Amino acid sequence: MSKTGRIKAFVKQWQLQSMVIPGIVWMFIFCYIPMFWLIIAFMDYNIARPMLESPFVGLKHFEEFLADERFWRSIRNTLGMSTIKLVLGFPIPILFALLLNEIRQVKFKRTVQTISYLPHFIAWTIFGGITLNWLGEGGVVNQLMMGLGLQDREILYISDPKYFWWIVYFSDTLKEMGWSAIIYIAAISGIDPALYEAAEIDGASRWQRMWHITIQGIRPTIAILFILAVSGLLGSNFDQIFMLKNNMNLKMAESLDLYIYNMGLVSGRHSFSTAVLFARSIVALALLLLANQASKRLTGEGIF
Amino acid sequence: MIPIVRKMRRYGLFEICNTLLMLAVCFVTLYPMWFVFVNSLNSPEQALLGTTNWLPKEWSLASYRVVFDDRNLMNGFFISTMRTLIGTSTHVLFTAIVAYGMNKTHLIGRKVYMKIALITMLFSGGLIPTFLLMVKLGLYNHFLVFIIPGLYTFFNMVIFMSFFRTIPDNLEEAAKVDGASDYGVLFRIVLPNSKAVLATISLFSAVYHWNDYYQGVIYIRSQELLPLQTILYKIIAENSMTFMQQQAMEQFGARLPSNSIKFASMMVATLPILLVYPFIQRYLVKGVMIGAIKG
Amino acid sequence: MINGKRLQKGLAILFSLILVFGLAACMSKESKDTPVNANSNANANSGTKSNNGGTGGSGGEVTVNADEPAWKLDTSPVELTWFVGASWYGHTWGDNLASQHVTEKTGVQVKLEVPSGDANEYITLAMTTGQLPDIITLGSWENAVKKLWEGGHVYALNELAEQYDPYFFKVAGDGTLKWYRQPDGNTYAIPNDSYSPNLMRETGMNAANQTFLVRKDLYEDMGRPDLTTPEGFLNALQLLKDRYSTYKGQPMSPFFAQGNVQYGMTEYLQNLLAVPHEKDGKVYDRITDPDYVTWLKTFRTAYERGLINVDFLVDSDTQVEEKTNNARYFMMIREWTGMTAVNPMLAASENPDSYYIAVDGPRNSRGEQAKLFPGNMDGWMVTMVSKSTRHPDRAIRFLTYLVSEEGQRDLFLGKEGETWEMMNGKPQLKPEMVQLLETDIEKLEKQYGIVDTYWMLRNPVIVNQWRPEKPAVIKQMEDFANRQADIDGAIYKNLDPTGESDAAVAWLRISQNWLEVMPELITAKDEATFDKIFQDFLDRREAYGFQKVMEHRQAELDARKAKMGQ
Repeated sequence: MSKTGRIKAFVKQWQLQSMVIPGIVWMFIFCYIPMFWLIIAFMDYNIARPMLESPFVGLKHFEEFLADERFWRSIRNTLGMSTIKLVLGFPIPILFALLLNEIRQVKFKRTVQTISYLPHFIAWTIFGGITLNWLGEGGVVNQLMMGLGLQDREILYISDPKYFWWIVYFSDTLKEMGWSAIIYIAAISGIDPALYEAAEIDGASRWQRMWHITIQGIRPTIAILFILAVSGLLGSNFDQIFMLKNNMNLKMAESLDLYIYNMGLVSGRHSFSTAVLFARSIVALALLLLANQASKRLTGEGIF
Repeated sequence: MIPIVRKMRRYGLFEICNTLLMLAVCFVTLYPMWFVFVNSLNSPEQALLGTTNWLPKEWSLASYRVVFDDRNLMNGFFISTMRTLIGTSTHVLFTAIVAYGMNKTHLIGRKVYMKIALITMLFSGGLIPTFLLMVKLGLYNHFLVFIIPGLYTFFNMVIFMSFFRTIPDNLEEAAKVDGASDYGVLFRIVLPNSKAVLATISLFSAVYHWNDYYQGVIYIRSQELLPLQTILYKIIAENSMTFMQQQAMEQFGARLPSNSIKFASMMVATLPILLVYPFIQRYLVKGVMIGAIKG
Repeated sequence: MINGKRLQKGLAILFSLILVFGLAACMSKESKDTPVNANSNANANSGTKSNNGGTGGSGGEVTVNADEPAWKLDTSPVELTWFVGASWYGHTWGDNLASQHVTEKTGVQVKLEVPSGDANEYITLAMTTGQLPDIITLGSWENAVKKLWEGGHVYALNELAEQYDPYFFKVAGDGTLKWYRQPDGNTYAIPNDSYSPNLMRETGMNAANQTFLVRKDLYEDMGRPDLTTPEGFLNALQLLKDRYSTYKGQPMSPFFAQGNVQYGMTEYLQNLLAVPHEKDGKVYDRITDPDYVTWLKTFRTAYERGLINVDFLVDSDTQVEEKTNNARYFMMIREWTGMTAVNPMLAASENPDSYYIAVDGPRNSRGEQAKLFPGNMDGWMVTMVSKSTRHPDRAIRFLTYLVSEEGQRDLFLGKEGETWEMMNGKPQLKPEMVQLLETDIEKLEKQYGIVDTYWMLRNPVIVNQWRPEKPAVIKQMEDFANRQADIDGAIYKNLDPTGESDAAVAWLRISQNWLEVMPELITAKDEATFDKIFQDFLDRREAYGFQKVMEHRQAELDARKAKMGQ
């Protein structure tokens, strides 16, 4: 297409462009202008002085954390917790939405749905306290395990690093399962009822309908959320971990976020924190592209 | 005859198990909220001795009295409500429009736009530059700081896009043939057929706006502009104090609010937003209901 | 029909938008006022001469006098914003007797500003906007304090005082000004709750609050066991496990250390063991002290024998509070100041003897008495005057007034005749105020605003003489701690490097590693493992750059000594 032809085509679709361009402008103002500051990752920045007066130090901060065994430990912990969350946690809201969809009594269904998302509204500072309470001396978990004869005396679960990832997984699932399911429930509600009717006539069983209609219907949503979840593999829930960590479980609990907090933000080392965040963003971008490609191949769905 | 009985029995078993499972889910997810609720009604004296698991050891509204005693609370409630209403409607509108445009494969520059958008999800400059930007834009200590920076999120745009894609193309094409403009198609065809996703994103956005305390902590200086959550956050989040702060505070004889007051603040902050859900749920369950009844 | 509906919706959106902008326009007025830097440094310098009767700055034609407080010169109404760096600070100004009294007297109406989140972050960010509150009170340890000074965001108090109110030098206490003097010769901040060694020696008053506490009735039932030697300590724990693992119907937790590894088990325990801070003029590496290591091994043995659990290393603050309030700990390494609410509560409970008393805890192999931190010159929070203020003259005069005996009295005691009166030539709180202090402190602070309501510039030397006698269950702990205060030890507090220097980063890594190593030491399966873990830690510490940390400590100590010697 010639240049003038492209301009013409562009002008012709001015309506569409006028929908998108405000968004792009917004992104430039609120995301790209602050992003300019990522260069402090290569500086020794002091907040008391203007940014551009800070000395350039090259890759000093990157070298510092790459040489720190604690940084690598935090990567291992983050990946460990995220993988558990992705493999065992990601399907749960989907399963929950599917099973909820099979409930016939509308009132009961609504009630279950409403109740299941309540814990989402309890702040982690409080929910973490409740979790610690349950896991502590005389807490429900110990009573249950002893009642079932699975352990003969109380265990301080929170003091043993080997339980930490699982505590994070279970407490997060309990808190967010119902909330995360909402988006699938919405997707299911968008499925054309005629499909179910047709399947009924064809004599499809409950499982067949669930598989061929419901799951197929929400496949794009699942794919997109999965891609986003993969790109977040190096992220963690800071509030949650901050509440549940202690000096004894720290070797399994210190996630990348917590590492940045402990080694950077606590002592006002903005350049160092920015360097770690910058590196993480690059990895996240790579993961996202990878997941998007894989998803496109496997399911035909992708974000872009 | 026999196969039908077997079939019924199988369905029955599934139904029973499923119902029991859902009841179990209800129990474990309701309990944390119940825990917060009963402990907020525990008397402050009893709360000192520890939390209670099922019922208050001594019923008392004293903690709620303390919470409502805060003069700024009603004002905070007003700010939060305004922010949620305006923030949610503008966010949903803005993001939906951008998402619709982005979805069109013949959009010139689509690939570049998408890449620009993608980067924003993964890279951010951090707190300080964002703060400086708000100051420069005049949003610092201004109500609009709750609205404008929250107009758009990548996540919600992608969700919109994926739902818009499920709307049959022939609907749009038919409208186009009738001479509708792009805006016409969006507002007359696409959005009315996307009630579930509109409800979902509205819910996400409303809950975000209601629950967010951080914007208030960072960008607001005048008491009169503080949202409810920011006012209550102080009470709940004392454990975010650094060790030095906490130690100094204890050493020099300052007092912290008791546990029951924390729980009461939590309840006060949460209840209003819970009331929103039933309205939105109608749009979510209607479709599901049809599927289930016919299924 | 459909169109009508859409129109309605459109109108609603339009309406709400108008509302937003209208709202916003109203609310933004305040933030748009740009502060005027009334007086730059240069101006302040030229004002130095005004001592001899010259005039300078906005002091106008009035002469300032070193023997007279200058606030009296101008009592016209003025509003000052005052930032208090504590998110939990809930008091306001102008709603109670004391603050009204002060405003009436000085004309200064204070608008208190409290951060919603972290105070350090709040001021750090406000610094970048150039719009700081008039007066800033911030924790002396926060890194924003140094940045305010370095970035030139606050006035040098000595320069302000010379220009507007030389009376300041009379009341600020020479010691404090010297202590906070920077290399450029200026002092930018004035602390509260600051204790100088000379003063502690003269008055016998100190802020020692590190105590070793035991639950009284249990301790006595056990026959007041010796806890000062490792053997005695282990025997007592054994006795507790064998005979008192539940006491008066409650399961007992043997031991707690406040701020566990970070504080209670490290610096605090070292103080109990009177581990020296300095040997032959050199900063001493306290963590390797044989007595300290012996006691860490004692804790390991106790854990191995099942005499203590690791609960004290992992419990959250809430869990700790719960156990304390139920008197479930047998012994505690804990500051008595954290017990002022609990102890009277326990003494009034069903078991009136279940409160905590201070006794002799772990001692070193020479059996020496503990050497506790006595409080120091740093104090708690420091107060500064920002350059954003349009009334630097009124701000410094107000501060001078507040730190003077008169100001301290007006804020601590309130108004004569209403909240206090002269008795035997000494001001004293009225009995009903003392009554309120014991029973309903909230009301006392809300309605009268006296005693510790406004602690931002509290000077303990002045106000403690007016404090009513404390209850016996608190006084016992306080007296016990005060007797063991190590006045000479004040100078050694917080010698560690902070900020972004190499030494600071090294120390950050070392101190955070110690948090993880200590629990490993206590739970080590035998003494050989203990030794290995400890040696590994020392090696790692070297690798992280401990040498630099020691050099920094030494330099810091030498600098402090030079300041004190002046």
